[in-house]
Amino acid sequence: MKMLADDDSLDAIKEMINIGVGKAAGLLNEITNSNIQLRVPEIRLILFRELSEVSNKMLEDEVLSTVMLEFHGNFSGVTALMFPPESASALVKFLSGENHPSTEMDAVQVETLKEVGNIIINAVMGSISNVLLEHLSYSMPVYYEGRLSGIAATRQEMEDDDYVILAHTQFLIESMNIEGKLLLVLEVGSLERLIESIRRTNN
Amino acid sequence: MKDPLISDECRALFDLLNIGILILRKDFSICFWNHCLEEWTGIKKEEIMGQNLFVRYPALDQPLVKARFPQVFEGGPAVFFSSQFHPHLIPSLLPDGTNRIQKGSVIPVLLDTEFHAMLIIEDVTDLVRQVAAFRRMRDVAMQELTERKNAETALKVANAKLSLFSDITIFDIKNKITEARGFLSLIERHHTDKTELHSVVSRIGSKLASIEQYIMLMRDYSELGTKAPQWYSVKRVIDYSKFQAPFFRVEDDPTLTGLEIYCAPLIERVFINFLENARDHGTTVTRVKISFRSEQDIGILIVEDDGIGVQQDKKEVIFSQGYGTKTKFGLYHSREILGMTGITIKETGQEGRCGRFELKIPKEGYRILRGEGSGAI
Repeated sequence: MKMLADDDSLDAIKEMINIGVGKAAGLLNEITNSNIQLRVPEIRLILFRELSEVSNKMLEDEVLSTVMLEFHGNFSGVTALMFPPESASALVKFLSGENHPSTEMDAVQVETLKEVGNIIINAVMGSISNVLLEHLSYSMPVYYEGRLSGIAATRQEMEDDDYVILAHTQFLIESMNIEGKLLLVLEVGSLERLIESIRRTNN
Repeated sequence: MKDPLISDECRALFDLLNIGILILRKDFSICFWNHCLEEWTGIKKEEIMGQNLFVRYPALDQPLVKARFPQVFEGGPAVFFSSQFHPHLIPSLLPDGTNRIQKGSVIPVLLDTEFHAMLIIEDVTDLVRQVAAFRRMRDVAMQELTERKNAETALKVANAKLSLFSDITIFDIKNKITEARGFLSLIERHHTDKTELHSVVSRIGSKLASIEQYIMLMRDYSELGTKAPQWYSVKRVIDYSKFQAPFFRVEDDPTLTGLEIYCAPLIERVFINFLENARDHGTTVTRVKISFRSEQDIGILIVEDDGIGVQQDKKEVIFSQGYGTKTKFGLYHSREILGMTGITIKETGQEGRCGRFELKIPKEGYRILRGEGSGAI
């Protein structure tokens, strides 16, 4: 029987993600010389198999533009930042100053989105490992375009019983509202170790 | 100067690769610089080893680059620099004198007991140039596709209208022929009465003239169904119309310079119709002024005369089918032709003071080119 996180642990996770996302927003503002606000209004803890049921339609049907980073250590898994095509395209167009109606991403736009994802994911993972004083090792960031089920297929170890921390991420850029999802998929046993680490730090 | 922490095998391998590789210590001093970077920059290993990267390349000494390194020195996740935001990480020129476009990754490398940062730089100039060329091609193709779609839609509308016009005109021609036949039977009956005969022949002549005008009108309409809409220089259309209908002074305002409108064929007939209309109904017209302005993306072309204007209750009815002379090109036809590309027309003059037609053109239906433009006519 798996252990579920208590409210205090979830609050701690939310705070760590918010610290990381805040730091990432600062860097993105500097790169783009504009006012980008990043918000994480909601965080949920669910089983991977329930992800498409509890999440909105975005995660069920759409082809998503995803930047992923695997991590290993006391707790292991993958962090993924996912955007629906319109949001990915609008974000990249804003950042690069391009203006054309197509939502298809070319190689240069993919690289741009990859850097944005890299900044956000690194900041979030940096915040988690700094607060919990946990050393994690990481793979190279990768870009993937496909459905949610395809993300699972990219990792052999991922199982339906893995826990997922699902953070709804909002980019507020001028008048645009760009939405993405930050997923922290934890391998079997990793959630327990993450929560142990949070409790140890709190104590 | 060799860093003893990097093995000779690694050095040899990194020197073979066609990507730039440099390794930094925690103090940002360079402890490895591969052969590829020597080739790109002309800076030899011996010259740059031990130097601080951000002193040597001050352009990189900015928080958005520098602030991302500490995480790497702690063994954290790799950092990625895209060509969009950092196109010239280690500036170097290509043989054609342009700057090499780069992208980079920084990964932590544990040497002895300390994490170092390995900066891997790839030359993506060809890729970026190909993407830029692809984007230009795509933009041109999309513009052409949009224009083609617009033209196809307008042609469909034109053909539908043409079919309607033809049916109406054929019906009118048949009527005239029936009337002419009636007069011919009168001739059979009254062929001895010379006065009556003369009157009947004259009426037959009038019916034949009407039929001829209908046929001419049908010939004009046929152009609508075969020629796609295109860009027309408004100045050239006005010049042509002034020449065809030289009734009074026509002033074309400076606001028309370079103005082109996307319109169905026969646009010049529309402008001639405005001038004929001013002549036939304006009574006191001495001049016509044509000008242009834009309001919230809508283009407004104004044709104004100093005549007696249109009565308030006739402002809409003048555009109805059959109003005025049925056999001639009228305001009904003008409105139909303009409407094929989304242009609307209204009479907005003041009764007793001026006649004024306002043509509202959608934003994709007008453009202002420098110089005289390239539009038709």
